[in-house]
Amino acid sequence: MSVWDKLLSLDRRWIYLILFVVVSYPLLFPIGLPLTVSRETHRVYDYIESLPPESVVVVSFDYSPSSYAEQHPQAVAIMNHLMRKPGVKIICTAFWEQGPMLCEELLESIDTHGKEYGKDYVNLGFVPGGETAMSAFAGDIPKTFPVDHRKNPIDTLPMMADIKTANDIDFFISIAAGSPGVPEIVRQIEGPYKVPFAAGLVAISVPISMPYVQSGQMVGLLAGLRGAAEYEQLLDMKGTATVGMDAISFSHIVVLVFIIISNVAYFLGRHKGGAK
Amino acid sequence: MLGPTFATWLGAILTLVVFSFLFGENPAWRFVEHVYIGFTAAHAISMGWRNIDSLAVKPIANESRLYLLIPCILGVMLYSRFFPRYSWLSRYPMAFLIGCGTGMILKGVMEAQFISQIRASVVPIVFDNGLMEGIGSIVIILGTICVLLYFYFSDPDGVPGLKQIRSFGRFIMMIAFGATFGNAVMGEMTLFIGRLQFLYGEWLNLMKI
Repeated sequence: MSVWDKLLSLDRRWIYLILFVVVSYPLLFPIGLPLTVSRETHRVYDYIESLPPESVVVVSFDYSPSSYAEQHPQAVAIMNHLMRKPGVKIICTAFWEQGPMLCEELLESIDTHGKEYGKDYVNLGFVPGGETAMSAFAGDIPKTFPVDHRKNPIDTLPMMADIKTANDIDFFISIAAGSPGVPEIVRQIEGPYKVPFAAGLVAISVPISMPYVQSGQMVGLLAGLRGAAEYEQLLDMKGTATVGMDAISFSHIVVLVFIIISNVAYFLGRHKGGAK
Repeated sequence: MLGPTFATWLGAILTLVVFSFLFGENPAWRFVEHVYIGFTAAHAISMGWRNIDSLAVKPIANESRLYLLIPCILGVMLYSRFFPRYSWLSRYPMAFLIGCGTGMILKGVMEAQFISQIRASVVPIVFDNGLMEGIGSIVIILGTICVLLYFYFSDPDGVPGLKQIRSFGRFIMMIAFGATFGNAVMGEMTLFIGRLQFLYGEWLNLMKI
């Protein structure tokens, strides 16, 4: 067996071990590799920055624990920014059933900068039905959410007194892991009500959603953990995303090296009559 | 202090058991997988009941909105699938769901995903905002046309030059697939790194943020 054949039949557990070691190093000993902020992330930041007081922003927690590592830092960064904005009202909602739980966890852990529950921000909770629920939400918010996630009747929440439909919303952000997600919101909320819309996405769905940014249907987007790290950089905060970026870069180098090695081994092995 | 410490230890042990799958499937991993699915299903039922309670039970009981019984009955009819003799009953709520869903999607799909996307593809080739902007516009126009022609299957090789255009369309799609693959790698690595951050940070307290 030639060296090329040995490389091609390498036990996958060696790859796991190498990856484990390489990724662990920057987590334990951060390097701080430079990070440039993408235009898509900057647009989301700039839009929130330009919101006047009394603006109403909806943050929809449309993800689950399976994409927590990628998307929770996005939600934390965006919520931190919104909390810093004086007078801005925040409505948290979810079209994924685990969203309200993740939202509550986030609200317990961040600085609200003096904002009060019910007056400045609220967690409406989850409504089932996917796209149909989005349409119902856009058409009549109090009817879709008669009580919030903390079981308060919606008419007892002062900030909800004048917020009835999507026409009363100034910005809609979805931290979306899949379906229902970006296309559904574009169809039911952004399109019919012309509500400016942005999203935090799992990295794999970014190429699919990019045409919506190109067409202007989305203000911008946060792409995976990198998007969260970029946003943290704009906010001048060091969160889990920033710390994780060194590890991401290192892991990509490992993947690239293995792709190159395996291709070289394949072609040279074939040339020598080894691998088929 | 007992709560978070116990939860952290439990999370760490479950994470390590899930990682044990890398060495092969084993009973401990299978147990954790079932626990995860069980928790997810239980949470879904709990959230589902909350919604039935707030959107149907309470309005019917407190405000006498009896028309809400109709969706409740339709919902119960879905479960008739479990009884072969009465399974035909489930077709009515299913037809209702599909009809409503389709109508709802069609309402927005034309403007949001058809007209707006076509409009965004018809871009002027101008270099006023920089060289890259102009090149980007050319790529969008050429890419859209060539990819669309790739899926033109009638008489594909009869028209002169069409084969080359289709090849270019395929090339453009390969670039898109490459971007998707790159993002997929980043996503999977993020999940792995997220777990390591939990193990090194919350569990072993080795990380300094």
